[in-house]
This record gives sequence, structure tokens and C-alpha cells, in this order.
Amino acid sequence: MIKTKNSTQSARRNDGDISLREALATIADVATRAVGDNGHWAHDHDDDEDGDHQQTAGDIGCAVKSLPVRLRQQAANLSVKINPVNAPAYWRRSAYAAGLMPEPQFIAALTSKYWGPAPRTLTVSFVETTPADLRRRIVSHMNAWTKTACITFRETSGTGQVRISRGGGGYWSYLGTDVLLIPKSRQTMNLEGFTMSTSESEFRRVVRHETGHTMGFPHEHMRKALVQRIDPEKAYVYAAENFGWNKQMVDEQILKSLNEKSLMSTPPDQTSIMCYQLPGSITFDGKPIIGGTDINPNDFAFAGKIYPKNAAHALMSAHELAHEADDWAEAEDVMEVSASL
Amino acid sequence: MAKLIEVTQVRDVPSHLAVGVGDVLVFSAGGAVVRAGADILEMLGPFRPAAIIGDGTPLSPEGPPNTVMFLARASGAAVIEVISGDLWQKPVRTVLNVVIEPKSA
Repeated sequence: MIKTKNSTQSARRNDGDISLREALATIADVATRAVGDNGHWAHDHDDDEDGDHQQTAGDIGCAVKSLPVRLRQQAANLSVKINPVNAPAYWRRSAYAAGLMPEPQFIAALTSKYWGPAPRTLTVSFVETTPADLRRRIVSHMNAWTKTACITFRETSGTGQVRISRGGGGYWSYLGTDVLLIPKSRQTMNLEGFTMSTSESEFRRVVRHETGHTMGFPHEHMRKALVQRIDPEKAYVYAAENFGWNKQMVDEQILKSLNEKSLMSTPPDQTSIMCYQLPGSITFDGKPIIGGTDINPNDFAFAGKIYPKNAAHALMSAHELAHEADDWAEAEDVMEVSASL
Repeated sequence: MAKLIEVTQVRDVPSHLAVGVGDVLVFSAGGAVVRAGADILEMLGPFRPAAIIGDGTPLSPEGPPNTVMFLARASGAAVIEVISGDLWQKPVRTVLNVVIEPKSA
């Protein structure tokens, strides 16, 4: 699981994975500081005792630069204009439920597919006729995340917010709040061929991984350090011969790395449940990328940070945001953004 | 008239398929390779799934592609290998012999 402390945002970069990771990193940072936790998952080596982060010579990367308060409303509007998915309706609702009245500009820091910090139950239904014991088993593995996170999954006899198919098409899930955008007649998660005969290890590896996507976690294997281990030429040949994938598909699925300039992270976690398992035959050194087989301690910690069980502590006040803000003369504000965006 | 032939469980179909020129085969699979007859059976994809959302744009889930299509261009025989299941961990490879008749039956 990615462990970031700070990130920057680029309005021009319209990449779902990168934007989501940045949003999650910001959320985690806000939660860490608001709780006053020195952080067990990110940079615990350089946080001082009162919870204020002091950047050290060992820190590499960029610090978050917040906009002045006067521009945050416009920034929030712009982010939604660029990508409507960024409209944080569900975060806002959960904040209200937690007794908070977020200022519009605050929303700019918490965007994309995040479900919000308040405890939430997502209903689950099954597309095909599914035995009761199998339904219970799947939902039970989905709820493994609730060890640290405040999102729970509950089966419904009606049409769930999360709809699971066991039909053909492999394993996949929509990301976070995207599941609410999918037509009710379609599944939001696919678990091809899962039955009660499926091994427990597969339930842990696959169901928990796909549930991570439903919670808004993208893939981990696209961290630059992991991608750099992959020999592109080997990957192209391997994927073409074995899957019939063209170069574009290989680039998209395994060679597109995240922009590490926007991240301050610990070494990439190849044992995260959100990391693909990739064979040694496509790496430079011949060693496989191990991949995750279950939710690991870092995954649990990250989930607990962005979906804290004590929601109120996870929210940062507008005052704190303002304290972090960069600023310049108001006359220099850019109020018009090119339509080319 | 050409047919759209959907196969959701490739493991369950016979290893010999008979289709007509102009027919389209659609498999729920993450990949496929034409082992013989690429000049008469054209592979399209693989494709990632997507759903149209409220603003009219497609939205894709996280995960590998899950659909492969073949267009029967001309009569003859072809051999395809369809890869389903978990591509990186437990791929299931199914070899199918496809006979393309001159006209769609």
C-alpha cells in the first residue's frame, strides 16, 4: 500500500490513478495531522513528538502547497469541471453526518472516489443465484478490511450498491464511489468462477483485493520502482505471446508508472494486497514481483487512516488548511482557465 | 445474416466451432492469440469493460481486459487460444479450432 505524506496536484494531468493516489495521500496526511498521530504508516521516522512534521535532509520529494483560501472554491469548481467524478457528494454527506459543515473550499482537498471519513455500510447483492454460504463467505472476506476501516459491507436481498457477478470476465471492480455510477443492471465487481470449492487463499487474495478497489484503492504495482524492474521488451513479447496484448495494452496495464514527484513514500510495497503478482520472466533481474496474497499490516494501517473509525478526528479545519497555504498578491490570481483544459 | 456469438464460459464450449463469414465471436476473456489462420479470422481487442455513466462517458473498472472478439473474414480453418481466468496467476488456456464456412449458416 502506498505510504505518502505529501503530494502536489496538477490540474492538467487527467489520469485517474494518479489523481486518486494524490487525493488519498492528501486525505491520509490530513487525517494523520488532525488526529495528532505521529503516523505508523508514513514517515514515522521524521515526525516529531507533537505531531508537526519537520522535514529533514532525508526527505525527498515535494511538499503540498495549498492555494490561498480565496481560490479554493474556484479550485474545487475547476476540479469538478475537469472531471465530474471529482464532485465529492458522498464525502460531503458523510461529513454532515459526522456533525461537520465543511466549507466549499475544503472539498478541494478531498476529491475523487473517496467514500468519506464517516462510518459507512455498503450493501452487497449478487447477480447470479448464489448459495447462502457462498454469499456469506464472500461478504465476510470483504469485511476483513473493517479490522481498521470504518466501511462495512452488508448483504441485501435487493439491489446492492456493490453488485457481484461470478460470471466470465476475470476479476475486477470499479473504484470507490464510481460503483454508484454504474447502471443497476450491471455488476460493479466480478469474481469469475468463485464457488465454495475455491480455496481460502484465493478468497483472501482476490476478494479482498477487489474489495480494496471498491473502497477506492487503485493498484500498487504501478509504483515507479516496481515498474522499473520490468523489462519493457520482455513484457511486450510475453504479453503478446501469452495474452495477445498489444503494446498499448501492456503500457496501460503494467508499464504505466505513477508520477513519483507527487509522492513522498516509503519503498513500494510489493506485498500489498493491491499489488499484482508479475512473473520473473518479464523483469530485468529475473525475480518476480511478489504481489500481495492478503491484506498486510501496511494496507490495514492505510485503510485505517483514510477511513478512521473515529471520523471526527480525521477532518481538518479550514483554519488548519489556511495555515498551510501558500500565498501571493491577489492581483496575480488566475481567475480564467483556458477552455483547452 | 451474420451472427453475434457470445461465449461467456469458454471452457464449456466444444473445441471445434463452426461459424460463417461475417460472424463475430465474443469471448469473456482477458486475452487470446490466433495460432493459425490470422488472415481469415481477425482478432479484435482485447477490450477492457466499461459502462456508460450519466454524462455519456465510458467508465472502466480496475482490472485487466475481459473481452476478446473475432471477426470471420473469409472461409477456411483457424486455430485460436483463448486465455481466461486470472491472467497473471492462474490463466486458463483453451484452444479452439474454428471452421469458417463460406456463408453464415
